[in-house]
Amino acid sequence: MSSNTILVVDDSRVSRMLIRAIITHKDPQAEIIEASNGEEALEKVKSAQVTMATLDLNMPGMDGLVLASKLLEQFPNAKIGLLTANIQEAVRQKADALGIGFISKPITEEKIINFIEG
Amino acid sequence: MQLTELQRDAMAELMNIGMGQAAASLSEIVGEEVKLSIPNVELLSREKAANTIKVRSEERIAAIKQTFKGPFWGDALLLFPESKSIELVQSITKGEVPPELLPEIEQDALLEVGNIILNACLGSLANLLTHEVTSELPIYITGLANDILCHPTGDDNDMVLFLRTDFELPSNDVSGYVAFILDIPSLEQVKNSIDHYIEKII
Repeated sequence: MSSNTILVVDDSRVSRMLIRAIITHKDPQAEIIEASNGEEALEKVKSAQVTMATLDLNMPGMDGLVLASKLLEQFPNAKIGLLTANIQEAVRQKADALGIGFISKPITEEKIINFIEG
Repeated sequence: MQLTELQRDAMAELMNIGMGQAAASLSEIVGEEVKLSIPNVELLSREKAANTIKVRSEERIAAIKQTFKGPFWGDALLLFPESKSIELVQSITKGEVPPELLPEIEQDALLEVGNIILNACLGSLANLLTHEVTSELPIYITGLANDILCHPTGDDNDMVLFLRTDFELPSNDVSGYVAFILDIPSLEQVKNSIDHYIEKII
């Protein structure tokens, strides 16, 4: 667990702060890379080895699903979760089709830890 | 009256979560995916708020309006072009009602869908802020954006907190907005609630 590099992409700073707090509490050694949109995320992970990522769906620029497919090309073994308030079945199916997890907002400690450990 | 960047961010995120719940309900009703925009949070006059709605359309608007009360209070609105109202009713009834009967059930169906959407959103906001918010029965109104958003008695230059998310039902070419309007006396309470919410999570 200590070698995790976790990418957290969300246009909400409050959400990123919350996710960081939960991850740091559970896995103090994890390296956390934060980005507020997909473009920034791709730029920041160029020289990283991402093991996990939580991606918001609805962001300015590319959405979390497009970002997920780009990240999977670069990190095929990364565990990616779409973290979104948009809990429609159609969105869950799109996440399934990409082979990524689905985490519904609001963010809770339990949901994030389940994703990290599950 | 100002909001900090973090307060604004938290409000947009709460609106985002509320609208996610609301869109899931609407999606179940209409049987298709509902597209949502990023929420917009602004402090502006009612008149300017109405202008943001008119930017996309000079058309008459149909609205389901629900007044809510609690530690903070205001109006929750589902807004869409009046000309699309029958299409929306068709989506809701999934083509099971003969077209000639649609106008008869139009208001009733829209009030129900407004009730579901606005309560999903309000309920989610109330739960996250751990407050009880009660809402009055929804009403159906039509008119220009100004008629709907501006106060019948108040000063339309008074500032309000305006939260807005755009939604779209692509297969029916229906798009509209869900908006919350909070008057300034209520805003101090909202800010306290938001600060408490931020403190709790960080």
